[in-house]
Amino acid sequence: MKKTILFLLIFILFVFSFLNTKLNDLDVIQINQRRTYYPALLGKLYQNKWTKKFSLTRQKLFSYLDWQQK
Amino acid sequence: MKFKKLIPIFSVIILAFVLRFWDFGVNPAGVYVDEASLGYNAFSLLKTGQDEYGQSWPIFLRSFGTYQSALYSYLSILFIKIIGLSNVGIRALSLVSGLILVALIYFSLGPIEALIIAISPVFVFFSRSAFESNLALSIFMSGLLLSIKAKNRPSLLFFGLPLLSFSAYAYHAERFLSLFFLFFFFLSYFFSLKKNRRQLILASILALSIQLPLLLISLKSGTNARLLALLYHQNGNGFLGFVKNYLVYLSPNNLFSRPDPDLQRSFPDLSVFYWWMFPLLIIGLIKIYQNRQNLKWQDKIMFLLLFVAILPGAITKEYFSTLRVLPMFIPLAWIIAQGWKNFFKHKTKPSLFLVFLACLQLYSALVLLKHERSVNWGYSYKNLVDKLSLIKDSPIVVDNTRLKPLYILFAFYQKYDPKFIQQWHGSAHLADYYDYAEFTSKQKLKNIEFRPIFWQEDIYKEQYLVGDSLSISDEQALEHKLKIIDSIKNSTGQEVLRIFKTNPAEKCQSSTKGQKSKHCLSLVN
Repeated sequence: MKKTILFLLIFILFVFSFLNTKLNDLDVIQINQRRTYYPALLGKLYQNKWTKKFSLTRQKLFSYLDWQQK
Repeated sequence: MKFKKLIPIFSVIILAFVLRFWDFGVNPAGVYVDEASLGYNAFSLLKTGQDEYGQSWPIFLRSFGTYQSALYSYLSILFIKIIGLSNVGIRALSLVSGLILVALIYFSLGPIEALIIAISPVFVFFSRSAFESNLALSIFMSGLLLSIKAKNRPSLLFFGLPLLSFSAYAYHAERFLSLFFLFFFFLSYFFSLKKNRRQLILASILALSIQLPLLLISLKSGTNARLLALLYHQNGNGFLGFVKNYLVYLSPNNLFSRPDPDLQRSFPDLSVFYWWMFPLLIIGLIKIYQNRQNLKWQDKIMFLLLFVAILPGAITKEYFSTLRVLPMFIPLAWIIAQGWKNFFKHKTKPSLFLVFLACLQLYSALVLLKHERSVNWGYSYKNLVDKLSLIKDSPIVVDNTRLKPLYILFAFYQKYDPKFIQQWHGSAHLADYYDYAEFTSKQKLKNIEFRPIFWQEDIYKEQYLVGDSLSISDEQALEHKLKIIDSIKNSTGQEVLRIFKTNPAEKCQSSTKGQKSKHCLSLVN
């Protein structure tokens, strides 16, 4: 338990402080064109064609569940 | 042993703190006019004991004729005294309220419920900016949870009911919710706590006496002006239209996929809860249904809160306003927590994986919020105020077509002496302070005028004109011989505001005889 909590805290600090780099032009283009932003290292893991497809399917599913709009 | 018990609560609070405090004050970038109004009025109350209009310790702040609840400003006085009138100073109370809510839920509902409140986008977002509704939520929930516990410990009624009543001073939605739950607890405990009726009656009298000044002020026309302006109109749909408006708040799409349509009340592309919480909500509902015979008093109140808290949002014409229905997200978090506990049992690793996922999604949303929404949060106005403060010898016209109460941002950033602003507003409507919901869109502070540009006149006077590309296009600048002095960019480098200097002499020279304005003739003379 102690180890997992310690790991969690280190992870949060890692994500929220060490990766808080200044945005370059490419990052700004990313922000304007893509709907998510992650620093390069995480971006490769977290943003790919599969996650994009999954995201689109998810949005379609939730739109289908929007019963009060029908 | 004691330390071991404290580890979970500390972990949840630290997690909540990091998610709320990272980039605090600068993300959202800028300060919105409502925040500036709360902050400047707190500053004015601190310095003079009066709001910006010169009203001593008001219950509602007239503000822009919107009559905001004043409690946020009162409680912010301490933070502004310590931190100063700044983004951090005005938002600190909301951060503290958000953390208190997490701790409150931890001890009242449980650790998983608190964890969900700690990581859910809606609670993180409202704790990062100055929102009266976030303060109201913490006070209201502390009153509600204490009143629930009073079933077994009636002495808690003396804390629960007054706190419920007090929450009405913090935000308009709680004016309705607090009264509803005061009557509800009074009626239900009147019959169930027969031995403690005396305590119940005394606590109720105390709660009502707290609420009495607010109820009396609520009879004034101005204090309800905002509600009347937002009220759901019977646009031919009647009751069915209201039902549809109500159901919008229970739509999975609005709760788990689509963000609040108001750009100042949501993270970009992140909904109230994360999409992956939806299956947990379904599991939670199934579990609660299976266990329906053994539901506790607290569980039943959670369902009541869920359905009642939607009403303040459903009666307004705005589509899905999270700000007005914040209390309804607590029961939803509670249902999600039931699903979480049932699905993961006591396995820590899958739970931690979901927390990681939440952190990643929040990180992305925070970066987008800071940069993409900087225009909506008025990021550029801080730079504008700094630049215009250097121009002291010439008149300046700032176009306020798209943001009427711009003056408050100048008062906020420049920390204008509250006495100056009070004199500027004048004392004409102090006698009918709570009845005057008018707001004039033309203002003048020192050498700066806030109003739309009058092209027939403004270009023939020696002055500065400030606006975005919609107010002053490149073609207009060229046609009217305006000289660009400076431009202000948002955080993604886009030019959002431009400062021009007029050139009446050249404009008059370039005009044909028929086009020449009377101002040209006076210039020649």
